Amino acid sequence: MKKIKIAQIAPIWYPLPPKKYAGVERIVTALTNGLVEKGHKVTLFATGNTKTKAQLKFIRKKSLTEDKIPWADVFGELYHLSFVFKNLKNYDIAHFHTDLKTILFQDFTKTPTLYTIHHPLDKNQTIQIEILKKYQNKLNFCFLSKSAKKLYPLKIKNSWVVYNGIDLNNFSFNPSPKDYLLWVGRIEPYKGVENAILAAKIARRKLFLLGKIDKEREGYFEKKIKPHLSEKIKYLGEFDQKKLSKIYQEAQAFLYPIEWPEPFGLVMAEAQACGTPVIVFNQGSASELVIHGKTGFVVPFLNEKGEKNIQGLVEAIKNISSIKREDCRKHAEEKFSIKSMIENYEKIYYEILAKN
Amino acid sequence: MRIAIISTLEEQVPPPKYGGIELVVANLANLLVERGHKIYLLASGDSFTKAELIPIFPRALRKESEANNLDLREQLKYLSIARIIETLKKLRVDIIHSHIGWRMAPFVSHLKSPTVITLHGPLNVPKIQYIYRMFPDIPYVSISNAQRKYLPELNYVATIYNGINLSQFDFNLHPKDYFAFLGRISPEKGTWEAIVAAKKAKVKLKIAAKIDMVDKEYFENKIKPLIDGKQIKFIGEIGPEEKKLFLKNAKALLAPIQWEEPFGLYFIEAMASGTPVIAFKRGSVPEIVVDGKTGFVIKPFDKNKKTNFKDFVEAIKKINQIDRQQCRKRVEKHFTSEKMVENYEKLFYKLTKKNNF
Repeated sequence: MKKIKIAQIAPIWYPLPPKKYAGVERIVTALTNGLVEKGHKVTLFATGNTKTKAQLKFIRKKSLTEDKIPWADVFGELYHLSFVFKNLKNYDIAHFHTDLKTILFQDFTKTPTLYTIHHPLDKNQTIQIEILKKYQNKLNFCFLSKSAKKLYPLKIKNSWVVYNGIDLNNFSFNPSPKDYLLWVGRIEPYKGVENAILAAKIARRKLFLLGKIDKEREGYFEKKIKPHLSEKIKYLGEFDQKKLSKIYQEAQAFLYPIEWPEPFGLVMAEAQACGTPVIVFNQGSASELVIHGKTGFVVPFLNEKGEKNIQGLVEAIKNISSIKREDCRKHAEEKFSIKSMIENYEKIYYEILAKN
Repeated sequence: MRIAIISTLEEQVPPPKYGGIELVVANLANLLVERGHKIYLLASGDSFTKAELIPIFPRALRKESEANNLDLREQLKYLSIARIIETLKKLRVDIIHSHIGWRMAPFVSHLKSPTVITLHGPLNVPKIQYIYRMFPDIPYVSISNAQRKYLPELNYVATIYNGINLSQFDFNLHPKDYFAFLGRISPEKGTWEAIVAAKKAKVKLKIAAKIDMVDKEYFENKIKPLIDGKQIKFIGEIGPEEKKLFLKNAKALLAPIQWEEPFGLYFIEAMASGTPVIAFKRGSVPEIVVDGKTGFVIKPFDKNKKTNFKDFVEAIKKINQIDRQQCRKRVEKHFTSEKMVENYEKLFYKLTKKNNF
């Protein structure tokens, strides 16, 4: 196939590659570098302090969080996007990882665009939906899972699904774990951290909690999580990638009892790559990411009485030895490699170009 | 010329009561139509104008219940941007004139027609400065020279003073016995200072002003106890007809402002009625009021907060030295809608010409 000129547009809230946990930024980094290695001419639009194999273009030196710009402030992003759209001429395709604000600029370019929808859109976000409506038959959207595509409040005519890929070398296989359970994520009520604690307590198992606490969630952590911490239930803070993979590798199971339809749980892919089975509530992409009974357990969210199915999690914990860790690794290799993610995106680029 | 004017959407154009920007936009649009231009006014659907009205929302945002929720209000403004851009792409005008400030800034360089932004608000707010600094090259119009002080690095193409429709204000040589305070009850407008000055000078003061939610406490604690209904009267928010009478019968307008007001529309409304203005020398005041001729421009309080009312009180006492005709004349010469429109027209020609080369 002919090599093409691609613009990758990163969000600019965090530096690239991310120092700690930041899913979107990691994907953009891997995709961009991978496309360069395949011989495409790639430009990455990000912040000035970005490390990348692609050509870098930027208007902001540092990321917004590094500059302590509050989340409510959208002008840093609009500034970035305004700059990007001024510079899209001569590219075969522009691939956006920024949020829906991007669409405000869509009419200002003739270059074909592809949007990866990293964040779900709620049906209550009526104003965003209203803006999007005008474009639903024109734009190219890529979703992170079939579930995310299905739950999207608008039907997008040209849309695809590409699973996120992870670096399988970084998350390497370990056949013999230690005795603890693991939960990794941002400390948020809907990420199911309280469910994980409760299940571990009932099953009388050790549980490590890992992840970032945003400023707005410090109160939640103090009130709802901290009182449960003990010898057996520990909060370890936020880890870099190296330490993170070690803690995945040595976990007996990855506990992820989420309460929202997560579009793609990168942490589930990472755990499985390390050979660690995943116990997850059946929400969002869970049943696409985990093969029930083979690479973990996809537990119904509610029991017959309509209550949160904590007991289901406990049963799964007890049955975890029935899962072969090799199967988890194999599943991750087949479904969630960076290589296949890049190939899938490449295919979509060619498809879009063929249409234009 | 084919001109698109983008109004704020908070209020209908013209506004029923309070709303300086919408009033200026209303006059500007109508007078440009009268001068033979094709004007598209992008505003709320309940506006009245001689221009071709393109409704961005059906009704003024202030009337929508959703707009009480700050978060939703912000989102609605996004939707408005999307609709404005869509409209502008279709219209293909010679020039775009925006009054919605910083929200438009990120999109200006992408629009095909030259776009000029009139800055209506104060520029000494950190958030506003941070945004405009990202887009310094847009052609900006300041509404006073003083306004530029805090952000001198922008690409200003003109200062154009706001203008009023003179026919809406009666000139009066023989005022009654009271002094006037007009606008909003708030610390920055200097309501408390006006009362104290009036008391020290032993003159009557009438306060015609609205009270915003944020200023309720200030009103209750600092203002209300001083209102006696005799020397110091509070008459609430007033509409255009009442305002006409209120201003023309006042001996002077008291404006001991505590902020850098970029342009005080109420100063020229008072002066158009023949009523001099006594104000602190802040923001646009020295550009509007001629000290000793159309009122008195008083040195503001020291920064160390030592409040010294001596000069202000003295100005009140010598108000009869001011020739009320001079006040009216100054407005006729510099601050009419016609003058404003002439200046904008000149600017539009200049900007479109530049674009053609």
